[in-house]
Amino acid sequence: MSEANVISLTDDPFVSHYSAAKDSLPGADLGWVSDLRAKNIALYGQSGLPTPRVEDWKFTNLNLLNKQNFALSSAANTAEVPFALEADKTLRIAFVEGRFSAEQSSKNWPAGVSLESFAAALEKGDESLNEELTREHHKGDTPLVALNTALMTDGFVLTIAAGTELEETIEIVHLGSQSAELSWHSRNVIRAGEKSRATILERIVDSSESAYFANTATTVVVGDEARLHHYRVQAANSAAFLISHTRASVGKSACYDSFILNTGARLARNDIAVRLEAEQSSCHINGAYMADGDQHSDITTHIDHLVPNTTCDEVFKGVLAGKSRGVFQGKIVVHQDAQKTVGNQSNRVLLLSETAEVDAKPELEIFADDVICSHGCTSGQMDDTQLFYMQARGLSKETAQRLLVQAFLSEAVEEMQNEELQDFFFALIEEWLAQQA
Amino acid sequence: MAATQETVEQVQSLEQDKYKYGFVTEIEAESAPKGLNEDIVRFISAKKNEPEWMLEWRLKAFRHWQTMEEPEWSKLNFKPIDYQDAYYYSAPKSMEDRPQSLDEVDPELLRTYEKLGIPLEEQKVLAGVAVDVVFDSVSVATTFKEELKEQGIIFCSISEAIQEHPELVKKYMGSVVPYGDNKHACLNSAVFTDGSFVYIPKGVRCPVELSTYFRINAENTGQFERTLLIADEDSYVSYLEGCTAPQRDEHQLHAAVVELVAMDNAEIKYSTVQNWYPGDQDGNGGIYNFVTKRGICRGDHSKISWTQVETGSALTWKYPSTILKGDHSSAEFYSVAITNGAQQADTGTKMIHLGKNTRSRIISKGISAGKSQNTYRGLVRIGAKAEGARNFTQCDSLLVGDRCGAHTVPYIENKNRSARVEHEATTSKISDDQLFYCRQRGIPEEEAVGLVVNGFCREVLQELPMEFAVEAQKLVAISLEGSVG
Amino acid sequence: MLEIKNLHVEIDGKKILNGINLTIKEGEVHAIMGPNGSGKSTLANVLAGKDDYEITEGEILFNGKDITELEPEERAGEGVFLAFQYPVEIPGVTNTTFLKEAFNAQRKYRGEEEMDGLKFVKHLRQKTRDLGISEEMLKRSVNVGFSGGEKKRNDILQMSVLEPKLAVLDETDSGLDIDALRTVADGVNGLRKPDNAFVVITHYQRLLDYIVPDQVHVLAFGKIRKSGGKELALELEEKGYADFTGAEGEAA
Repeated sequence: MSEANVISLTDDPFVSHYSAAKDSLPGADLGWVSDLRAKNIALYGQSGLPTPRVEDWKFTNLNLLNKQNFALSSAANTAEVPFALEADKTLRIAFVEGRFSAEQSSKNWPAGVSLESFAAALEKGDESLNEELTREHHKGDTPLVALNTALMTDGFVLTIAAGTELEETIEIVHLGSQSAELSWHSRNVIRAGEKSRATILERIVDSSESAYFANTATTVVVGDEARLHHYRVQAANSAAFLISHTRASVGKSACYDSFILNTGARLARNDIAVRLEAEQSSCHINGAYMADGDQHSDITTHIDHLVPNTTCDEVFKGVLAGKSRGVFQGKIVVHQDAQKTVGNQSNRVLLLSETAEVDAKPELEIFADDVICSHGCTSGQMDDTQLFYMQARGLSKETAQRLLVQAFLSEAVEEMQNEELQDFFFALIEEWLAQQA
Repeated sequence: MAATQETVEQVQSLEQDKYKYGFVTEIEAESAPKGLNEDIVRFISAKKNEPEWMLEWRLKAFRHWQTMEEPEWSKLNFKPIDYQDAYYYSAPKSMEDRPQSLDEVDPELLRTYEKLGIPLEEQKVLAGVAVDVVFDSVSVATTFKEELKEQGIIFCSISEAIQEHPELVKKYMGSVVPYGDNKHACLNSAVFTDGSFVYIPKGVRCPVELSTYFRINAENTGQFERTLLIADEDSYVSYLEGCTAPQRDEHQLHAAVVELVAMDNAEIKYSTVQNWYPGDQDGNGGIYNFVTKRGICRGDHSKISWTQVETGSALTWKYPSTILKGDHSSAEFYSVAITNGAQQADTGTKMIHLGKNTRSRIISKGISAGKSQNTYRGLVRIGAKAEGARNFTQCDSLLVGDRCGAHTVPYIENKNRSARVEHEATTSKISDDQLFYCRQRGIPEEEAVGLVVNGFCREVLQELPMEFAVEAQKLVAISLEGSVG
Repeated sequence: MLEIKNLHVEIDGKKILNGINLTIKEGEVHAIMGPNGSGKSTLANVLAGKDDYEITEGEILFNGKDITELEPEERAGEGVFLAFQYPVEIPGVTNTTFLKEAFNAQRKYRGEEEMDGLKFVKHLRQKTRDLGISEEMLKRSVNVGFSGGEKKRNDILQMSVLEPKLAVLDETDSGLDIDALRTVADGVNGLRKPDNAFVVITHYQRLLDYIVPDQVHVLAFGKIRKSGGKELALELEEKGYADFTGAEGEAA
C-alpha cells in the first residue's frame, strides 16, 4: 500500500529526489536506515506537502515552496562560516549548505562532550540513533518530518555526558545556500545526559541572496535533572524557505529552556513540540519574531504535559512590518492524570504597518482537573499615549517608536534562563530595528 | 467517489418517480413517514400551503445538502447520523382546534414549564411577556399579538410570515445564513417546520421581551426551527428563547437556524437558555443540537448581543456569530456552557469585523464535570478595512472532577494595524479552599459547588433578562448535581 | 461545650498533633499560643473538619456529641465557626447571597424554618450597622478585592450573623495593623455571651490585650505544654517560645 502511494506522487519533486538519491544517501547500505527512509517517504507520499486545508497549516501556505524547484544539495561547499561569539569561550560547529564542515568546527572537545556529524554517525551504523529517529514524538508527526527522515543527509549528533557541566557555549552556525537553488534536510540530535548543564547557540545566517529550502528536524533529549539552554537565531536571507521541527523530551526534574529569534527568511516555520515526560520536568519556550516586506514567520508550539507536576512557560513577542504575516499557534495539552500542571502562554504582537497581518491560535486542551493554565494573546499597534508622552519629553517619533518596540521585544528576551546571552539577543534586536529606520 | 454519488442520485430519482403520485397527495396526513427525500420536502411545503418560491428554495437546499460533507472539525465524538431514520414532520394532535388561551394548553406542557421554575401563566402575568409557544413543530398559542400589531411589530410563526409577509421573508431569509452555509443549516433550509418571525419597524422600541419556548415532544422527531428577526432602523428588541425536553431513549436530531438583521442604530438582544435532555450517564438518548445562529450588524451604530446558557443536550454544536458590517457597530457574546455526565459541547462564537470602529466582546465561561468534554471555539477576524476595530475576549474554564475535559480553541486573525485584539483564557479547577470555606459556613457540598459556579458565571448570567436569570441560576446548580462527592 | 480528648492527627503520614486534651466551657475564651509549626492551625482546621487531616486517635466532643465523623457543613450546623487565617475569595458570589445561603443551610440543618430573602436582608443590614461595617460591602463578592483587614472584618460579620456557639479564630491578628486589630477585637467582644465560647489562636500576645482570655495554652510539637491564666501570655511575650522549641521532649 505504501509503495502505491509513493508511485502516485512521482511528480512530487521531493519524491523524485528520494528515488534518485536513495542509494547514495548516508547509511544506504544499512538495512534499518534504508527501511526507515522507505517507510517515511511513503508516509510523506500519502499527503505530500501540507495544504492550508490541514488544520495545523491553516495559516501557512507552502504553495510558494511547491512552485520552486530546488535541487537536492549533493556536494560540499567550503565557504567561510561567520561565528559570532569569541573563539576562546566557545565550542564551534559549522555547516555550509546543510553539510558539516570539520575544518571550521572545533577540533578539541572537552571531556564529557562528544560531537559527530550526523552523516558520519549514520554511516558508522550507530544504531542508538534509531531510538532518537523513531521516538514517540514522530508517531503521527508532520509530512515534513517524514520527508526529513527519508532524505536526511547531514547534521550533528551532540552528546553531553551525564554530570557534565559545560562552561563554554556551543555555537552552531548554519550557513545557507551559496549560489544555486538548493534544498537539504538536516537532522540533528542533542542528548543532554543526567544532571548535565549546557548552553547551545544555534544561528542560521547567509552570505548570499540565493533562495534555498532547508528542512530541519532536531531531536532533543533532556535527561533527568539536566538543564539545557537551547537558543536560536534565524536570520536567513529573504529568499530562503526554512522549516524546522524540534522534538524535545524532558526527563525528571529536568528543564529545557528554548529561545528563538526569528528575523529572516521568505517563509520560516518553527515548530517546537515538547513532551514533559517525568515529574517536576519543565520547559521555557520563548521567542521573538520580527518580519518585514513579504516575509512569513510562523511559530507553532505543542506542549504535552503527560505526568503530574510539570510546568511550562511560553512568552512570544512579534513585531510585523511591511506586508509581512505572522502566525502563532500554541497548543498546551494536559493529559489525564497530569495533575498539578502549570502551563502559561502568551503571544503579543505589534503591527507596525497597515498591510501586516497576524493570525494566532492559542489552544488549551485539558483532561486533568487540578491544573492552572492560561493563555493570552493580543495584537494591535503601538500605544499612542506612550508615544506622545515620549515625544513630549523631547524624543523624536522614530526614536520613541524604536525604544517602545525594543522594550516590547525585551520582555521575551528576559525570559531566557541563561542571562549571559541576553545581551547578544538585545543587540540583534537593535540591529534589526536600525535596519527598519 | 463520483460514481457512488451518481448511483445515489439515480436511485433517489427513481424513488421520487415512485412517490410522485404516492403519499405526497395525501397532504391530510398528520406526519410524514420516516426518512428524507425530495417528496418529504414537498410534503412539508404542501402541508404548510407554501408558495412555489418557498418550495423551490427548500428543494434547492435539499439538493445541495445531498452533496455536502458533515462538518468534522469539532471536538464532538459521535456515531454518524442516519438521516433516513428520523421523522421530519409531525403535527400535534390538537392541530385542528388550536387553544384560544393558555387554559386550553395541554396541562402536561404547563407542568414541564413548571419544573423549569417558570409557569407560563405566571410569566405572562408577572413579566408581561408575549409568549409564542412552539409545541413540536407548529405554533399552538400566540399571545399579545394584537398589542404588538398596534405598534407595527410583526411577531408570528415563520409559516405565517411566509403567507402574510412574503416580501420580507424573501428578502431576508438566507441573507445571513445562506442555505449552503453548512450541512446542518442546509438541512434546516430544506425541512424547517416552524419557528418565529419578528419584524420591528423603524423607530420602534419593542415594549416587551419576546419569547419562545421550544420543546421537543414526539419521539424521533428531528426539530428544525427557523427564526428570522429583523430590527429596522432605530429599533430595539429583546428576544428570549428557552428550551426543555422530556426524557427520551433515542437520539434526537435538532438543527435550528437563527438569522438576525440589525439596520442603522438598531439593537437586538438575543438570549437563550438551553436545557434539553442530555441523555443518561452514558450519553444515551440525549439531544443532538446543531445550531447555526448568526446576526449581521448591517447598519451603522447597530448592535447585536447574544447571551446563552447551555446546560442540556448530549451534543451541542453552536456558534452564535455576528458580522459587524456597519461602521461603529458592536456585538457581544456572553456564554455559559455546562457539561456533565457524558455530555459534549463545542460552542463559541465568531466575530467578523468588516466596518470601521467596530467593537466586539466575548465572555465565555465553560464548566466541565463528570466525564464530559467542553470546548470553546471562537474566531475573531479583523478585516483589512476595519479601522479602529476592537475585540476583547475572556474565556474561562472550570473543571469539576478529574475525568472531564476543558478545551479552548480560539482563532485570531488581524489584518488591520489600528485594530486591537485581546484574548485571555484560563483553566482551573474548582478550589478546595472555596468549597471548604462555604462548607465551614454550613453550606452543603453540592450547594457550595452550585454557589461557586454561579459566582464564576455571574458576569454572563447578569446579562440575562431578570426572569431568565433566576431560571438560569437554578439550572446552573441543577446541572451540576451528582458531580461531586 | 468542647471537649478534646487525646487527639492525634496526621497529614500525609506526618504526625502534627500528638495527644491534645482541652476542655472549654460556655462563656469562656481560651487562647492557644505557640511557635510557628506547632500545630495551631491544624487544630483549628481539624475542629472545622477539613479534609486532608487524619485523626488517628482521640475524639472531639461538642456538647457531648462526637463530631469527628461529621462533615464540615454539619459541624457548622452544630455551631462551630472558624475565622480563617486566610479568608477565601469567591468571585461572583456576593456577601449577601453567601450569607443567606449559609444562614438558611444552618437553619435547615437544625430543623428550623428558613428565613425569607427580604427578612434576611433586613437582619443582615442590622448586623452590619451594629459592627460599623459599610453596607456597600454586602454587594461585593466574598472577599474579592478586600484588604487584609476587610477580609477579617468580613469574617467577624459572618460570625455575628451566623451566631455560632463556638468560634475558633485562627491567627485572625496576622497581617493586621493596630486599628484593624482593635476593630476586629471590638467585634468579637461584642459577640461574647454567657452561652458561647471562643478559641483564639495566635502567635503574638498583642491580640490578647483586646480579647482577654480566661485561659492560655501553649502548644508546641503538637501537644499542650503549659496552661495558665492570662498572665501566661505576658510571660510568653517577655520570654518568647524558647522554652518550648528546644527539643521535642517535655519542655519546661
